[in-house]
Amino acid sequence: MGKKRRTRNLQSSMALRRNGLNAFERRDYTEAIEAWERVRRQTPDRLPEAALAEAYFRRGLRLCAAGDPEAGLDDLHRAADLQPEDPRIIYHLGLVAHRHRDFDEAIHRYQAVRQDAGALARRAAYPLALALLEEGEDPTETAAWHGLSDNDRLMLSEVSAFKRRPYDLPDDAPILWQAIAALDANDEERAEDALESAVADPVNPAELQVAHYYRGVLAGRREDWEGALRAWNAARAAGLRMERLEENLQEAYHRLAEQRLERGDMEGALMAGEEALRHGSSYPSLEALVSHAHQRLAHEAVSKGDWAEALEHWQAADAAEGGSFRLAFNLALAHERREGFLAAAERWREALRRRPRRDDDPDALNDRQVAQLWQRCAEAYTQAGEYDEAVQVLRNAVTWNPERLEARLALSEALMLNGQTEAASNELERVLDRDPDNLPALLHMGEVAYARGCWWQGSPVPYWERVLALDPENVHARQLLVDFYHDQAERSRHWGKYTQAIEHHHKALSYWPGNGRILAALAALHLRLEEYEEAQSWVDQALEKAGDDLMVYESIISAWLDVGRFDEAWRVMEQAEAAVENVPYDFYVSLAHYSIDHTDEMVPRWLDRAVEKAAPGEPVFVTIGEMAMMNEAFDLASDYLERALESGQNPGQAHLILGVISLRQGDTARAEMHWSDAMKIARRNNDDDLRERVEEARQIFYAPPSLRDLIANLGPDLF
Amino acid sequence: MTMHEPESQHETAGKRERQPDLTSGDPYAVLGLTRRASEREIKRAYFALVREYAPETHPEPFKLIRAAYEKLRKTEVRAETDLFLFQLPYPWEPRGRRGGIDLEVHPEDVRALLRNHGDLGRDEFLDDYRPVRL
Repeated sequence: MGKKRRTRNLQSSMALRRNGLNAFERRDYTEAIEAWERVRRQTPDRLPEAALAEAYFRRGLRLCAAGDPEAGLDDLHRAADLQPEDPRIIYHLGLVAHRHRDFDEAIHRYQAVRQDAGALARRAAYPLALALLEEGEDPTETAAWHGLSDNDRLMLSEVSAFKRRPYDLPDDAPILWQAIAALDANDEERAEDALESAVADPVNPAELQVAHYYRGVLAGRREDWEGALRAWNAARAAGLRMERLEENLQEAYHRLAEQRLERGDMEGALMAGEEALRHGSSYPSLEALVSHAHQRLAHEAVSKGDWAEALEHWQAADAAEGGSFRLAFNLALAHERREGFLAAAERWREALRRRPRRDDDPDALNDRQVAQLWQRCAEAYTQAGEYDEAVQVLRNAVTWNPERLEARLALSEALMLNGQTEAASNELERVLDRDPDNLPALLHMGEVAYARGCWWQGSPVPYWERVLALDPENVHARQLLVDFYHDQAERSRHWGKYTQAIEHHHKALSYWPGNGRILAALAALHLRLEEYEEAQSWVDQALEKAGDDLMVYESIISAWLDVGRFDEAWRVMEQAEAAVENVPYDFYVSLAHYSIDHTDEMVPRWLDRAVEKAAPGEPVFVTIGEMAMMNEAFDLASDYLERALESGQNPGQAHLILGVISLRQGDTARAEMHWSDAMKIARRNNDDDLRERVEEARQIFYAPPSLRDLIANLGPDLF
Repeated sequence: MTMHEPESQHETAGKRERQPDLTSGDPYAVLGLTRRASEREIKRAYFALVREYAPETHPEPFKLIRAAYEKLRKTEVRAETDLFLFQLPYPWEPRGRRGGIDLEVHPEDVRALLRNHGDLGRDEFLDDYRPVRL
């Protein structure tokens, strides 16, 4: 080593020695040890061994007192390595070993200390005599015995009585020892009195712990589990930590839970069972008990109609026991009740997976039942919008019971919803092969034909007419036929083929004679053809049949607007007001919506009427704002939304739409300002729905411009 | 699959022990029956309730009673109804426990008490510290 480096090390060592001393004086023994250990590595000749040993010694004692005897023992051993002759360190090594019940080691250390004269040798006499006793040796013949006080000698003599049964104690032995000896002799009455005295007047905290513990033992012998638990919990609260105590607590809670379960006290059984789980690791019989209590409580909850609580209990039972067919089954039902359809579907799947396969099992399912369960599972998937899964699951249902036409019908519906119209059609054909007059299949086949386009599959009409032939009262088939011809008529009207549209309406009318809306549609078509006399005849019939149906009036008014006869349109509106009590404001908003495309002149009149007719508190301004925005009449929309804000009418929604309008007009800063205001209102009112819609709007705002335009054009329905 | 009743619900022939619960989703509960009820018992419970809740005077309760009866009236429909009723837990049967309970006297507990005496029972040993000199 060079001279410079040696000098540098020396300076560093001196600083470290000083730093170590400062830390030691602050009682920061860890920092002192670190500093002095570095000194030892850098300049071993300047190692302050006695100081380092003292630091380890003190830290070791501190760790033992703080409940970390292993780390404490390491420090004491390190101190002993540095100062092997120090009797204090040897004595404390003996005490730590003794507390760890390593009596051999303890005796060895105490005897070493006893070699010296002095205070430590005297202090070592008692623990040495006790260690010898605990090792089964007789301490009375040793020199240590003679170094004991009279009281210590008496105590050690009396404890010797516990070496052999029956335990024969002198009358003046401590009361707790007498209690334990009485308990061992099954003299419960004497034990109880003595334990009561020991608890009432304990000599030290350790005696109190043991007294509580044996009161628990006494109660346990009487199968008084509540009493045993009270006593053992008191022992625990007093600081007793013992594996045996924890095991007894767990077992006593388990037995108490069983007692309560047999009495029908499910809440109590559950509480005790859960306590048992807290006092040790779980095991199957305890898990089964907790699960059973939860299931019984779930049953009680269902009887009260509380499916939310039942669901919680079944979930807890499932977590406790690890699942079963019955639990999965009940969970599926509970999720359905709570409209958690995806979770329900998954539980149905689980129930099917866990179903017993042995025929003699009471829960065994036959093939037909398996098919029914798969179908139920599929219904849940359909409700959850998971059509692909529903299709897969329904194929299982069909496999398990190929003759179950309901499953095939459900499969065809799921295929339709999943966009697989050809497969749906094939499945329906299989049903009709087996049962040509199956009404649901015929109805559905018509729907499939309509969805696929008449030019591909043929008209749906023959299927629905066949249903009516088989069941003339079938309302569903009749409605489908009316809707079909109405759609055809609307299509023709859209293309200006009014005569063809009239023919379609007449066809619809043949299935539903006197239907006010069809009559009104016919009136509207004749008005558009300017056949006023003919039109009036249909108007009269429509109003005769459905004079209180605002849709009828709307249809006629729209036709007058189309032909530019605004005065007539207004007159029909007044006719509606005379016929219908309390015409809702959105009737006028709807007319304004229709007029925007046809004539600006009428829009303000309808809107003024809407505002006039709206009842206090109805969100008329916001509704008009939404309608105007949809029609890209942004100025009109903004005017009404500002009026909504001024009058405090649904301000959150008004800000949200104003933000969208600002975005559509390219003013992003203004959009953000409105959304911030909407968000504040959502937070203030705890309105999660509004908050979500604002967040969606913001996501759109940060989306790429092309996507943003696309989404913004979808209109306010999105929000 | 067979149906299991909770232990507390029993029905003797011809006598109803459950109170009808018109708010229940379980048709047996609506009619005040257990799941083991015979066809005759179902019919009898239904007509008894209809006398109590006649359609003219109690139309809404009657609808519930009728709907429940429809779910149990025909064997085939009842089988499907039963299939989708919630499952009651099996009657409780205690299983073997993991271990016993220790209610014995342990003499070492007494000796352990002696370990709380003298230096063995102390935490603080400031008097054993020595000053340090460097």
